[in-house]
Amino acid sequence: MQLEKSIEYILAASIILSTVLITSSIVITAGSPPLNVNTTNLTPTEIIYGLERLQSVDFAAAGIMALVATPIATTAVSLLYFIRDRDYAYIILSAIVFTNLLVSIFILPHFI
Amino acid sequence: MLDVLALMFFISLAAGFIGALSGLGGGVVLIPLYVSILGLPLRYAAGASLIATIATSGGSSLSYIRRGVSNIRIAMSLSSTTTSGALIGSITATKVYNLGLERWLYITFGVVLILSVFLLVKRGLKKRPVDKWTKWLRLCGRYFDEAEGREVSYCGARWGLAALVMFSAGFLSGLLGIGGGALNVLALDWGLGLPPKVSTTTSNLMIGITAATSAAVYWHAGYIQPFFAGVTALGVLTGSYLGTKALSVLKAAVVRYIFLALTSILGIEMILRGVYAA
Repeated sequence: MQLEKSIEYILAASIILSTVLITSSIVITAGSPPLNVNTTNLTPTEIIYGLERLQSVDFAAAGIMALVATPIATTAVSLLYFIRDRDYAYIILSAIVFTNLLVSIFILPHFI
Repeated sequence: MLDVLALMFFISLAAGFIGALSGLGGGVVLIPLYVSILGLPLRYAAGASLIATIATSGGSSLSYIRRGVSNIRIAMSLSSTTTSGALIGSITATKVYNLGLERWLYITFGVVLILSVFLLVKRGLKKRPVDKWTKWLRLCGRYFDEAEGREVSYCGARWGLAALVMFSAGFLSGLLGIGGGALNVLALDWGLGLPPKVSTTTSNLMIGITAATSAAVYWHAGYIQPFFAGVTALGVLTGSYLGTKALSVLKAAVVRYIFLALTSILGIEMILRGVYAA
């Protein structure tokens, strides 16, 4: 499969998934959405637990996480394609992008 | 509370519509509208804008990649510098907010908004001769131009210069919570010398990757309110879809200048807000 086609599938899946999750969160709130949520301590594990219990805020958070995960997935897939093609310049460049995305999630928060 | 979310949806829909017509993207118009109309603190408006930027980037890139206009290799190569800039920009933003220097972000935002308008008015095709970057990174491509009914071939050059501009675009994206599309387009148009359609669509793909880098930091800093951001993403996505459709019906040049004028007014409003902040 071509790189373009793979990215197309990832983008389509992400848009559909996030739209469904965010719309569900609004329906579940039934008129009283919590508007002051501190995301600092909201972890993926808690969000998954909240989805099981139909917590509206976790649906909204999951929709946002699905969106944020999209560029990470497209970058990872691009990196794999460049590795397959032994395209060394692009392996380095896409590895930098992938590393930056991971640094923003796992390392930078410690410096806030 | 639903009325707040409904109002947010319509404002973000309008921002997405204006963003698509002006070519500036949703976020850059959305933030001043949220601050002015809803009185939302800048950090939450910026957080919502970043999520909306990822959504619109995904939505529009889907169609552009399918049509073969976006250049994924160029997007990936230059994202190495935009994401580096975004890391520094977003962590700087958290420090600025923590130090209570928010007024400087309002002023910077206003200046960037007006500069973006100027850059887009001045934009045009400047073909560059191929150089070592063109060969090393294989920056050539081609796409089928539906309007002209022919295949267009192009080659990018001066990647190093474009990468420097892109670093600044990434920094501003992280600092202000915008996509940084205007600076991206400057780097791709003026720096690499790509055709405008390739610049715009490649920039569209890049702003999502850049915004995701900043969004993770904003999330950990607590600047992303899930409901605000979620509704904003849906609104901007819908608005930009309608704007893209309307663009083919409306007189593009006239509409574009009207909205660029509106964007300039929003920029001045943000500067004044920063200057007169208590």
